[in-house]
Amino acid sequence: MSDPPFHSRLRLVRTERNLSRKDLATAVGVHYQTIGYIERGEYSPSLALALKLARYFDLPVEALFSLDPFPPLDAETLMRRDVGTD
Amino acid sequence: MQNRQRRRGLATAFLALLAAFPLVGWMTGRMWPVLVLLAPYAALSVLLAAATYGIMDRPLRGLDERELEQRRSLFREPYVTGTSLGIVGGLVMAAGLGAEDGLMMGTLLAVVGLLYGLPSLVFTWTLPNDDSVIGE
Repeated sequence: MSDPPFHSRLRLVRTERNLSRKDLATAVGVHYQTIGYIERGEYSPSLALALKLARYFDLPVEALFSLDPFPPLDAETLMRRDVGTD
Repeated sequence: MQNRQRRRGLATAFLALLAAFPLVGWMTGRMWPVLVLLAPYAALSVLLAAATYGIMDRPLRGLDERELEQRRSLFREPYVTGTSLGIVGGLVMAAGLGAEDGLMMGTLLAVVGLLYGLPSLVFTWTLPNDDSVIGE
């Protein structure tokens, strides 16, 4: 199987914030299936949609999408997150 | 059963119905039994549209960017296929002029139905399984 044209952390960010596909889709004005397509890397969102998604999550767009694979979350990162939530 | 299997079942039923048009016309030799098949044809067309979220039928302004891209990308190949089928249909009609009314009407409706329904059929066949609304 070939690599997707881009890599997305949308699913991770969405589930982390307990958002359904439908909620997110409604917020950015697309069909909920479109969110699924983007999460699976089967559809490259337009610049406008990518920016809308980034704005919705209050993140820079490169935190959601990348041309290179995202590094896996390592133990150090997870520890920092645990400390941050205490 | 997954959505994709259901959709493909629907597409197969649609094709079977199209095949039934000339068959019924040929077997009965009359026009009215062929015209009766228009009722299930209309019902199956509506079901096909519903199964694909109406992406092939909704107004363009009602589609989001991914749906719009899918709809546009589908029309490239089906247009060529449709044109070819139209020519074949014309030849079939010309050959059918000598046949009895039922067969001619059935063949005509099958060809027109196929030309009209081809984009929906292709889309129905290729659409992947639905994502859940909630997402995991």
